[in-house]
Amino acid sequence: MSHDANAHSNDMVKTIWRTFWIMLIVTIIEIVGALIYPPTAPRLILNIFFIVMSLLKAFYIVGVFMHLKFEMKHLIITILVPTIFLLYAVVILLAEGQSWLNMQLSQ
Amino acid sequence: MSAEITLNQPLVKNIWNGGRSPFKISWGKLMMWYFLVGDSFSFATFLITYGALRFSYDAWPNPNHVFNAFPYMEGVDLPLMFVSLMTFILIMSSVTMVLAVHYGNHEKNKNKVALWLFFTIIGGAAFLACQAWEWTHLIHHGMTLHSIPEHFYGDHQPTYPSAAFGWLFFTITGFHGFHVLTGVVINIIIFLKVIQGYYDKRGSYEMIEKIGLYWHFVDLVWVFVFMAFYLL
Repeated sequence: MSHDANAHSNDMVKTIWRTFWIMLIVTIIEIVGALIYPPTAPRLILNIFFIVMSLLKAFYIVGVFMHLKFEMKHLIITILVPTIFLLYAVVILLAEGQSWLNMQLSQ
Repeated sequence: MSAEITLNQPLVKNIWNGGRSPFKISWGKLMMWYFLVGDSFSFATFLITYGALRFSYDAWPNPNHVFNAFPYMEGVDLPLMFVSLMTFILIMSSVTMVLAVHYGNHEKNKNKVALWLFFTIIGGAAFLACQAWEWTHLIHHGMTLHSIPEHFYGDHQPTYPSAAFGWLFFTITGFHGFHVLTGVVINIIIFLKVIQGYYDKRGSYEMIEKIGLYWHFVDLVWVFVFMAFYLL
């Protein structure tokens, strides 16, 4: 029993360190990407890459470090569903920002 | 007989019938989670405002020209190196925090919890020191709340210069830094209680887990602040 508990404990420590290495490598790739990406190439591809990588890091922080992955499904739902409103605000306000620019430039 | 059995052992077990938490976590942890959901909205309003204003300008300060300094290396062009160090420190302190939580929950090992909490406090303090240096550097180089030096833009000079960049940078990283400061202070309080054996007497190290949730949230916010200001 105690041996099992110890084995489980060691597994968790391994998971924590593995998560750390994943996050570190993802961050290094992001910075290298920011530095070597050619200025003439379309920014959109690089930006999508940054957003996907950040969401990946967010998944590891919330899932493993904050332990949400191992909580009950109901708890996960009550925490993640409200963030849909943020997605709404991102889409609507970025579109509005773009239209401010177009108005200024057309004057 | 059969009626008694039905009363004591209902055939359909519904976790929403009351009498216990349907989430199987303690009240304190649940409320910390909901506080963090609320707090994520305050940070999101900051970052979404940043995004909306950024989209409304035809040119924006280039992170490679704004954040290119490193302590003791004045005049050397090192784009994003210092902020990479800050990010590394914060990720590292998140790892030490989760190890403190782990040794508290699984082994109730006072010394290990205290040791890893101590490293977390050092990490948080180091991050704050880095931020103080970065702010000082930017202010010395002419960045104020409402104006920024022209060389921040690099090759793409804007039709209309942004008046809000300083406001956005100082309020968003400031609000995040204030969260880090709060986290460090709470960590110090918890650390002192750990070494006094307070949680051994209580029989539970769950308090470490609650402050741990807060600390990881601060790290989570930094991922998005880092993305918005330094990468995109």
